[in-house]
Amino acid sequence: MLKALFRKQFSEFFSMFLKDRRTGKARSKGGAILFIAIIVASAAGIGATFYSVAKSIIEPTSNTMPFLYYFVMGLIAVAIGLLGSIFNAYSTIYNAKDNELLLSMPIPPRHIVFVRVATLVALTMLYESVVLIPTFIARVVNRQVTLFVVINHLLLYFFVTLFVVALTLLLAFVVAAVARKVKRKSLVTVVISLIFVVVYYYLYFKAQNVLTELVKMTEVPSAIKKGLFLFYYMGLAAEGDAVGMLIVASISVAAFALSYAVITLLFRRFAVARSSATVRGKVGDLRRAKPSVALFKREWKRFISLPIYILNCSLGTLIMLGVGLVVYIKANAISQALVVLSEMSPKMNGGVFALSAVAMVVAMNDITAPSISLEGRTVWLIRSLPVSPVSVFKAKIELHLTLTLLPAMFMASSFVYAFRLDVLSSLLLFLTVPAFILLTGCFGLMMNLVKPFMTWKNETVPMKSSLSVFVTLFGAFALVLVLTVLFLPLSQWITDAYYLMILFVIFGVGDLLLVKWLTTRGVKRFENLT
Amino acid sequence: MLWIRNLTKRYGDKTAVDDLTMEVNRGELCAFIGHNGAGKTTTLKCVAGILGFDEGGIYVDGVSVAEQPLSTKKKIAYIPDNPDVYEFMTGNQYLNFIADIFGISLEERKEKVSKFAKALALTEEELATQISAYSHGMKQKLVLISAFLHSPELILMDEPFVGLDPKASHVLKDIMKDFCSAGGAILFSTHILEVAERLCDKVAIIKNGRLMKCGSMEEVKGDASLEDIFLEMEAQ
Repeated sequence: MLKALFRKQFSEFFSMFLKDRRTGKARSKGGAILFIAIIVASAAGIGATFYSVAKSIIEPTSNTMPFLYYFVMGLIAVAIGLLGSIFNAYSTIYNAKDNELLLSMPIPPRHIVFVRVATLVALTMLYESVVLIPTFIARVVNRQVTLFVVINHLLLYFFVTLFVVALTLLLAFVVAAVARKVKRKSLVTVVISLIFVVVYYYLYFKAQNVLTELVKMTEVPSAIKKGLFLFYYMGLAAEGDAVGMLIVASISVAAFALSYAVITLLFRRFAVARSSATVRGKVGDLRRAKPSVALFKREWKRFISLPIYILNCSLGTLIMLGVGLVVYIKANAISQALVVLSEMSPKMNGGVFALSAVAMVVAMNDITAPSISLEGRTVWLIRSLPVSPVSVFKAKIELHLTLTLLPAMFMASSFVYAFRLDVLSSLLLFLTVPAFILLTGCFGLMMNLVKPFMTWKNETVPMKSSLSVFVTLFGAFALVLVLTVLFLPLSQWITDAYYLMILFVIFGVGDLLLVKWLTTRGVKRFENLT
Repeated sequence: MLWIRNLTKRYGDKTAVDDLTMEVNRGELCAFIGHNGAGKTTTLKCVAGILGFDEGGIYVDGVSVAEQPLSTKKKIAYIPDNPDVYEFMTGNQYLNFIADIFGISLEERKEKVSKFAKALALTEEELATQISAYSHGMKQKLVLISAFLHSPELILMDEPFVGLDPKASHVLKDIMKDFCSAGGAILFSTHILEVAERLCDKVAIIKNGRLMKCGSMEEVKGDASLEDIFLEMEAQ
């Protein structure tokens, strides 16, 4: 029985390599090899980054406090492992689609848990390898190696993984418990994800300073030794200390056993639990709106119901507001950029630079690019109603404008203020930004009509594995980049205002052409969607 | 009410509907039967304006579906075999959306929602709940309520009884009969031949995209049962 469960679990895992997630069809042999090669190359790239981190730590700590090396690398390994595994744990154990199916069969729940946790351990080991293999290599290359060091590094690889899985299981348990109770899951997911992103970048930028300070120390404060004692013993174990190894092994095994016991006991309750928190509106809430408003509300409701849509396609909105605020507050410092610009060309006044900055962030808002695919299986509905495809497109573009226009104008105004732009440049900036926003909205919609994907089972697919999203996102980035770079030589002869005028004409013509396409060929494509 | 003339629809090399000609008049309740993949859903989707077609014409009250799709869609209600509706809305929000598209007054929508929700046993609390929490049957009931909101003249139903509880099925049959008695027309596909035999005054049998028989129930089945006739045709 366990063998069959393992076979199912691993075939599910390997289907990621062997099957195209988008179409569900088997990849060709070459395609599978290429896909695996890309993953291995990416892992190697990430591993190389961690090798350079390991190298920067091992050298200064070799003579003073050798244990500090694995103390830091162990911390990084646990953080990376947690990052990679927590959502895997949630989806593999509590949210697996076949939980009910398996529980309906004569399989003891503990067997299901065992197989799932074993898979999680294997996956976490893979995540850990991008940190711990470079850690081991850097250790072998830079310090004297004994047999105990090698054995302990191998054991640490296993016990660090076990410790990470223990934490992951408990955190995923909390996620599952919260998910059952929370009504506005999408809002909570978005807020948590944003906090996570902010903390991640904060730590990322702070980490270098912390590491520099740590490796400079000749003695680690006792508070750190006590507070992070597990990592302290990891550091000792990595240098061949048997007692340290024993303590790490004991703690990891105990933590894992505890988590495993909790999961096994509560698995049945959580695996088949329906959410007790259902979103409810007002009873008898019938109200009237114009068809155009109804179509816009439909787009809006879909948008706010999908955290992945919000996070993937409208992060630019928050960034524009944030950057705008920072530019207003640090206007004096930002205005120093003008000095650099005027060194390139005395004609530059920052207008084009401001547009490039705003446009780069606007390009992150690709709200329309998956919007056709997101109709998915419900496309029959809009196709059966007496609404023209153009009014459907209009609603989708209006959502893009609603979420992008005001923040973009706010960000643009912050640069006007910081650079003290003249009236003409400011006016042209405020005209060019909306023209570019409309361009990206229409382009995303066009791309999705050209390459729609309607048969998805999970909304993540049209958002993440979609050619239309990829082309829209990187096409817009590339356009901004090319137009900005082009201005550098041109700035010797023309002012920012002239160039902004040219860009306004280019974007305006682009808008007209795209609108023409959408109202003719786009309509035909929409009418063929089923 | 509905005229289909020489309708042909192809998917690449495969002809899903082949030169189909039939009509459904006002007051007629027409069952559309055929094996899986016979072309029933494709035909219904072509009539609803969801699918384009290659040859022939479809007319609703004399208006061409191909030439004036928005006009014909205003007179039609389409109920699919699988009620895939917007799960990010509550039942009320969904009904509001449909009513807004058809420009239905607040009084009228309140009256209709109340009437059909009561008949199909969908409570106000359930209508205030997000559709993602609905069962298949509840979604089906919601789609049925939405179909009657704009007082359609022609209703196209694809397997309408699937997922409905016995009471709702019974109520739906009454609603369908009342609708046709009031001058409406219904074309619905079904695999439940007993229901078709008892409920409908007209039947159309389709096989491999071609219409095999179409006429009043008596004309088509004579003294035999509809099941016998259908199986006989399938065996040919």
